[in-house]
Amino acid sequence: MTRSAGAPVPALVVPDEQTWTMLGSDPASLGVEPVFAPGSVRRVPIHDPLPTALEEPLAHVLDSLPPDVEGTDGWRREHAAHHDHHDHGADHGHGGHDHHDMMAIVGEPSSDGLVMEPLEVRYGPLGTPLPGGLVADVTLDGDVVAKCELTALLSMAAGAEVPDRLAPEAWRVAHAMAQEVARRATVLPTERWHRLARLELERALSHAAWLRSLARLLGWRELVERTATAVSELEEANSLRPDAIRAARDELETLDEFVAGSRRLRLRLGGRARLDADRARELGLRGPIARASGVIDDARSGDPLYRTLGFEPVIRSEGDSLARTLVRVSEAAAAVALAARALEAESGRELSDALPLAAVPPIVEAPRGPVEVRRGDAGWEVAADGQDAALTAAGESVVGSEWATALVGLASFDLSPWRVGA
Amino acid sequence: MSDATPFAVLAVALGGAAVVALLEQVVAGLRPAPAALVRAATATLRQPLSRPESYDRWLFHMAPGLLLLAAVGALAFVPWAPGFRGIDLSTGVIAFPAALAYVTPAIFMAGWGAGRPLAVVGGFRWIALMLAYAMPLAMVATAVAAPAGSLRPTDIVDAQHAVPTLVAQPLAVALWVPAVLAVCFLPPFDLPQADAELGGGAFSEYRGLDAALIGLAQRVLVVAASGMTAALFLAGWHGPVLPPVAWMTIKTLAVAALMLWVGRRIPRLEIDRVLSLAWKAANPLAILAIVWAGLLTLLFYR
Repeated sequence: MTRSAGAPVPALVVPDEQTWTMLGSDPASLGVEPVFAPGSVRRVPIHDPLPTALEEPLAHVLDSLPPDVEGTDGWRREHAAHHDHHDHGADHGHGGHDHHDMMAIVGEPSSDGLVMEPLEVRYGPLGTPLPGGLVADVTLDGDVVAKCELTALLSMAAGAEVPDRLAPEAWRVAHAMAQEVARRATVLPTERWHRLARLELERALSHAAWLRSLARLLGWRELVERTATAVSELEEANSLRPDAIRAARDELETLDEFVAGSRRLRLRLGGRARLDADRARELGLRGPIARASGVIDDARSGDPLYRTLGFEPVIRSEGDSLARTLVRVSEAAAAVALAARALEAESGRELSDALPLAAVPPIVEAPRGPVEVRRGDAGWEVAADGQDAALTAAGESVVGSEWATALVGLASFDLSPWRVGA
Repeated sequence: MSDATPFAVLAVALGGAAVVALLEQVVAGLRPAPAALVRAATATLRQPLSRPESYDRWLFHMAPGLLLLAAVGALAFVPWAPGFRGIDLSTGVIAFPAALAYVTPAIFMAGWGAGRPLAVVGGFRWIALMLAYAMPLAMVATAVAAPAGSLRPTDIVDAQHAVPTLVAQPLAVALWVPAVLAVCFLPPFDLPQADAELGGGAFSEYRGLDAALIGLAQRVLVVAASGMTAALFLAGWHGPVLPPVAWMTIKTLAVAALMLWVGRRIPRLEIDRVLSLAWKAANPLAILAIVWAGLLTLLFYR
């Protein structure tokens, strides 16, 4: 998709609330504007330039917006000339096929023996509780999910020298580490501790912002407010001031206690979208999803810096939506504590010599799983083990669930909308 | 009923809806901002009416009006003071849930008329919800009427001069409150719209006047449900010092605030769990409530 100079460039609204929190930047500098509430797209701002990663999701979503949404006239005029208008139905990101004959119900009987007309729903890539850039093609048998296929739409430009503006901070760290290895550079301990602290704060912020999105999906305003407080404390903590980090740590510990002891949450999430350890290993899942299913796998365990800080991975065995939630909230609280200790270690000069490169593995444990940046034929490539498998696992786990339960199950995976499989 | 009653009911509907909107801000921990509400309402009214693809024009555009009519109809049966009793029917306490029954076709029309899969799911959820909660609502109303020996709401208010129904029949209250929360489709029973799950569900496609009518109708329902709760369970306008209408207003606002507060504290319930609670717990317990009311009547009210 190319734009001529001076032509209006439609900019996609920021994919989702979690991503927007992670960006934390001035909207004008990124060419995006946040819209979070599903079904509330009324205006698409015109900015320039458009983040490359969003071009494909943009095409999907603008086609499905109602014709009277402000700001899309230029796009529609430009696009109408060489794009067939499919009758998806302007549904704010929720598409649906027309039913040709409402009375002719044919097909295979569902699990309860009734023959129901299946509903095909395209959910996403914008304005849904799922991460922005993620599309769920769902077949509903009544209000029960019969089939669910997830597709990630965000992609980095091939051979890009730096990660996309919307990419997680962890990718930038992985990219920097890969470049250091390639240049055989030596990095001072101060920088390493600093980097560790930033990575952990990003993890905490990512998990807290994810929890806020989940709370909104659950329709639980009290939890939305609590997580919003945690998120704002974490945003303050990004300044790396000790008092701000202490405040964030206290807030996360309180949130962790609240979530861990919440009977309301247990009732809502317990036993949903279950994934056992064997299936998790079979699919090659990594990150918090695997740890919530009992798979002991965390790239930080092999990092001597983390070992110095007394890091222990958070593991649960239930493998359901509740376990994934508890793992992330505990990791968020632990992450802030790690960041605080990392900054204390930095100021105390506990490592007097620069660490040899070989001692630090080039793999970064990002909030959604391990990430490695490698030099390929086309340039730098991001490899994130297990993220494609997570899409498959999530889709499988919600089949047979009622729609709302399925959505909560999908949200509990905190899926990545980036196409970065191993 | 005087000639002025319909106008008085309309005035209560509009004024009460505005007060409920302000109460929503207060319960959310914000300062009441009437100007912001006016701006939001004006912005909504300025939007053009929506015309979704594949929609049923008649069902879609009639639904908000029918919803408002049902809400105002239910409100008409609420007694506010000895001098302002609304439509003081001898079977008013049963006519109240009967009026609320019209909410069911209204919301289903909204969902079906929009012609969207998730809107239809919202409409069907509402039917399932109302089938489950309409019975406890009517049964509890009967239980509350038994001690008074009358189905007239004003008689039930007067029968509470010694002991409010809240104290005499706690089981009835425990069943009534979730049922009216469900009828008003307030959280945690906001299943037909379920903003995050269904993207607005049955109401997702509405804009402009239609959307404004739906918002108004929901708030009028809250006023009606709160008012009838105050009348049936909190001894209505009875109280010392203050005039009757002041007591009724205070009690109604307190019930409305409680309903809104509960909605913030509890996550949205799953439809399966809601229906299971209704059919397996609420309905049998409602029968027990009737039995308890009968015993009370025999022992203390006759």
